[in-house]
Amino acid sequence: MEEGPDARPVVHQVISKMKNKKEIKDELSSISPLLSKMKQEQEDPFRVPHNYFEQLPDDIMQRLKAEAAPEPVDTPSVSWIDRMLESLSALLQPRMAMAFASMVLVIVATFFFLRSPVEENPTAIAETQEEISDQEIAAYIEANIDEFDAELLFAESDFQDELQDNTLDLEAEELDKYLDDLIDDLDASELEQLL
Amino acid sequence: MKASVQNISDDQILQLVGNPDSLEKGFRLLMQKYQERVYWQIRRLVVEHEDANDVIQNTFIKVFKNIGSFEGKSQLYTWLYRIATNEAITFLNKKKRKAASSLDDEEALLANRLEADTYFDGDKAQRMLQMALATLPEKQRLVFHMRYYDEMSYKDISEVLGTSVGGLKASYHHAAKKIENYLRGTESNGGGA
Repeated sequence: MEEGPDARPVVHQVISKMKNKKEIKDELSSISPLLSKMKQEQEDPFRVPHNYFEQLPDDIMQRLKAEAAPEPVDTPSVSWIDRMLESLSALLQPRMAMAFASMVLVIVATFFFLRSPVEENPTAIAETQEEISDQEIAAYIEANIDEFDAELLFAESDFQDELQDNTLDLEAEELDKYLDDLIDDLDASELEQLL
Repeated sequence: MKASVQNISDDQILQLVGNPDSLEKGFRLLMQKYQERVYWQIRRLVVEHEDANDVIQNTFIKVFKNIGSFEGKSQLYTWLYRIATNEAITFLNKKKRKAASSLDDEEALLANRLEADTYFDGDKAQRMLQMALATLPEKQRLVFHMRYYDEMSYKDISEVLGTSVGGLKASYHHAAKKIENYLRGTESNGGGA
């Protein structure tokens, strides 16, 4: 390492300073005796707060560290999986889990309550049937007669109702008489068809 | 403690600063060794303590950020002086643009600031001296401060300001004469401000 000015002997530095001071003093008194006199007589008028120089290096280091610190990021870059897991773990907390379960229950109950009456509401079916004319129903049955079996046709026919209505109050004798009257009403060809 | 810091050489400080592990220790030593000289240089230019505090902090932050580019061609303290002077001049120019629009305004403002400054104990003659300094052109004011208050050699001032020793001697001569004339003028006019 090269020998710098700080390596000079201390005595040499002191002598150099004194020599410089004397030069400055002589120079000033030759240029401006008034200023020279003021410099000798007056004290420095400037003051600093107590312990200012003891505190200053700490203040500056604090500012340097504050400037070097990374700026806080507004939104940390977290993947959607991390965010989802975070949400789930929050839901697993006892209080949140209770609230979440209650909410699911209410949603499911509401869904079934609103849905089932629409499907099974007889009024709605009746209203739908009223909108279809008898002719349309007859046409549909005729076109799809193979889809209906005998029992279904019998169950839905007026004949069964009439039969039930008529037989409910009939006694055995009355029933025999009713059947005889029916047979008498039939002609030979109709009887052959039935047999 | 203070005396021991002053005995630490610039080379020792620079070696500490050059090593990341001892950077803070080295920089603290640098501040402790030079902060008072740098502060007073700044303070006499900007006058008020609060302003000087801002400027010296900015100065050492700039020194910290640029210490790696210090090549050792000049003495460490002349390099520090140069940075401090630039910071102080930049500060004063900004302040001047904001505050005063004429020389009279500037003088009145300075007089008020000196009156209000709790860290200025000067008598009337010292206030007049500060106001006389404020009337000088920037270069003459800098030379006068470094020679009159900081008692720097022309060689060192030349390193800081990058001006020839002959030019500096002329500037100092003109500055001292103008100040004396200002003081004598205010004296004969009944004291001025």
